[in-house]
Order: sequence, then structure tokens, then C-alpha cells
Amino acid sequence: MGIFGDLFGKKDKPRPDFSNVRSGGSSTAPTPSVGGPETSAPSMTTGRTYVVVSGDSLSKIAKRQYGDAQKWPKIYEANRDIIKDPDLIYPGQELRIPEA
Amino acid sequence: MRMHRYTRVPVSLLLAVAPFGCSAPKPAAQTGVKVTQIDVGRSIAADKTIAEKTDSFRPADTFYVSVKTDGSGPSATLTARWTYQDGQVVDESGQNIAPTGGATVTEFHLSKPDGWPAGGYKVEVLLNGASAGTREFKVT
Repeated sequence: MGIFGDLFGKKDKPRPDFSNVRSGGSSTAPTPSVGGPETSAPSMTTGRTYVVVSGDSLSKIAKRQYGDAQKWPKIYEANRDIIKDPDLIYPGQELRIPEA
Repeated sequence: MRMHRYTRVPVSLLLAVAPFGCSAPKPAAQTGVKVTQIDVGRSIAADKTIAEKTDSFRPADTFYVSVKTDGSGPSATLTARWTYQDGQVVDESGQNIAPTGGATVTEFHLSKPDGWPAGGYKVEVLLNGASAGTREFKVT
């Protein structure tokens, strides 16, 4: 395999590392009601929300949101009402992301 | 007599179609929310629209995508999926919104403290899991 790569001058290019990417967002639209009294306040200043997608883990989300995977307990603590087991999160779950 | 015929036909049609409409798995159709505009740029204004549109970024830039939606619904999920030219998913994040009518704007942004690798990028916006549009841009 490697021989063929060398023969054809195709050296393995290192894949770019996107592990320290930071993402965020906000909206002018209200967030869906989750039973609290505040239903129309934008989520921008009160912390973000994040919708779990396939392949996510709390540490992955912490890495993206805070740049540090070790901060996953912060997200876990803020979402104890919906996360029973920190190793089990599901696509579609909406997590609160507290300020770093 | 005619009245009966006219009323029976639509009812039977509704009965035939109802199971498909009710069991449709995509909530997008039920919420009445639709994506009307997607813009990419390097900064946003206070109303979350793109202040500086571009499809050519520098490594130190922050990518912004602004998604305009119209309509209302109790819950809709907007997702931005960013990918690099090699197919690698750079990031995917979502926001749940509950627009009450009229136009709303949702922004997603992405930064990389040590700079973006040069190359082509793509951001795909999904509404309730269904693609609503794609924008391509590059970093030079």
C-alpha cells in the first residue's frame, strides 16, 4: 500500500486538525418552550443551546464549545435533568451550554 | 343530492390522504417554517444578518452563516454542517427555534484559534434534518 503511494509520488498528506474549532450561534427567534415561564427571550445572553447530533459525546461538545474536552462536566451539570448517564446522549437532545 | 356528492368526495379523499399527512416523519412540513435565505460572511450585524458577505476568507477569519427563516412553529431545528474539501466534517451544531411568525434570522459561527487551513469549505444548512441549502467558500 505504502509502496504504491511512494511509487506514484502520493505521500500521505496529514489531514487538517479541526479539533480546536469553536462554534456558536444565536437567533432572533424565540427558543421552544421547555416549561419555564420565559418563552420569548432570545437565547444569546443566557447561554447557548446545542442540539446533539449523531457521533457526539459530552467531551466532544465541550471541546468544540470551550476548546477543552475536560470541561464536559460543566455541560453535564447544566443538563442533569435530561442527561441521566453522561456516557449516553442522544441525537436531537437539546443541551444548555453554560458560559465558559 | 348534489350537495351530498360534493361533500362525500372531498371527505373520502381526505380519509385516503390523511394517513400519509399525519405519519409524515419530517416535522418541517408541520411547523410551517421555511428557510428563505442563506448568506456567508466574515462578520454579522446586530440583527444577525451578514454585514460583510464573502466567499473568500483568510485563515484568521471567523466564518459566519446567517439563515433567514419565515413562518411559525412550536419547534424547528436549524443545523449548520461545515465540511472541508476532503469531506471531513469540521463542525456540526444546531439551534432549536420557535418562530412566532414573520422573518427570523439565526446565525452560526465558527472560529479556529490557530487559523484555518487553506482550501475549500462548504456549509450545509438543514431544517429539521433536511437540507435547506449549501454555500461554498474558500480560505486562501
